[in-house]
Amino acid sequence: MDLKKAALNFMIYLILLAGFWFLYSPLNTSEANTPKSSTQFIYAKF
Amino acid sequence: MLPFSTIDFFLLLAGFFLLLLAIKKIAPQLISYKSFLSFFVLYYLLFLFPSPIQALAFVTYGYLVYYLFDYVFKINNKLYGVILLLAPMVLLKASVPLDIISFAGLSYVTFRIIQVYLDNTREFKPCNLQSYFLFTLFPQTILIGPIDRSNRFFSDLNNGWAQITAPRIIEGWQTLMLGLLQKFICAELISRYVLSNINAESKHLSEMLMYMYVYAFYLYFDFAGYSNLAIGSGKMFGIDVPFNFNNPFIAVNPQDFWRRWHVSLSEWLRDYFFRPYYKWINGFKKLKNSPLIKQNSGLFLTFIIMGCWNGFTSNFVISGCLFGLYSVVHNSYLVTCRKKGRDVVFGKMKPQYVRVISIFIMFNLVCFALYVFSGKFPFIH
Repeated sequence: MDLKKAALNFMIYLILLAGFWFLYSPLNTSEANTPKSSTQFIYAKF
Repeated sequence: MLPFSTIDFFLLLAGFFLLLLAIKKIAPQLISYKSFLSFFVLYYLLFLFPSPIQALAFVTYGYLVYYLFDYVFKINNKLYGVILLLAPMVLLKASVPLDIISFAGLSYVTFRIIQVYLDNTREFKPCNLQSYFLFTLFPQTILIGPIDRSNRFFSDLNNGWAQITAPRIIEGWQTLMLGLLQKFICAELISRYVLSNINAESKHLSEMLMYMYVYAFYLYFDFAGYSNLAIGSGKMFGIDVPFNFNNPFIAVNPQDFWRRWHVSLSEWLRDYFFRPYYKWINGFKKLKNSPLIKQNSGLFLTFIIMGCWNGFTSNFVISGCLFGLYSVVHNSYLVTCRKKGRDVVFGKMKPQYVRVISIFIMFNLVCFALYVFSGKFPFIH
């Protein structure tokens, strides 16, 4: 695998890790850690 | 449990993926790839999907219409079958209480069963019932697509365990990660920290503009993220689900936009509505010398159908009309340029400037149409 692609993937994993901790971790009690994003229900009402 | 809505769904995917790998590695002769996928689909549908009976009843109804019309009654005019297949979705969208077939994802399943029916030429035997159920109820795509095509899906199934390869799994994993990032981080951040802080009901221009731009990005990340989750996990299960989004905000015109945004839906409507309609209207002798009227009416109707497909509410229908209007104006512009032999808007401006201006115009037009689509545009309810 070329280095650029590996670096990009690594960055995605880091952002995911930090993002999930920040948004959904039970330790992070500053915000309700349940997803509010619910567009799928607009698209799939039926 | 709806697909990708809770952690449980991801755990289910992980469990079945590990089982799939184990069977492929240890004893692929024990169970066929198709049977394994059927077990996965049935398990999800019967034990976890919110309305399994309704989904199964509707797909059975779709197969019955396909089989009876094409192989028993041998009706040549496909319009009657299409009307029957569309009827449940139209009735539900018109708020007729039809609980027996109401389930999340009905709109997408409807388009899939219509595609199987329309593409069937009767030269071959009816499609295998097991493959039909797998195609229409594949958990990753049941809810909001992408809208796959049956022939492509069946060829994946027929390849059997050979579909499970390391490069496909890696590609699927990377797409899945991108989907997670888009839907659960980007869309969630926008929703939680920006969108929810804007007064969506405000009639102040600045707040309206803010909501319009932020909502466009939110919708993109949420929907493209969901699509990538479906594509990535589909690939890991050996199914090459088609792509759905490709940087839509750098589109230079409406035609380009629909090659980048919800691609599987726009291609479906092009193949199963626009082209048959154009063929039909071409038969009118009175319109022989009016190709522009034929093209533009087809474009406009296609987008109205797209709007209605989302729902019979004013926000969806008007946003469909807006996208239709953009396409009609752009098509008329192209025809005029061709007739006059020059660019009637940009003249001899350098192509790179034309491109930047086109992207800017298209981006703003799209954001406005999506703002109307959101149902939060204060002048349309």
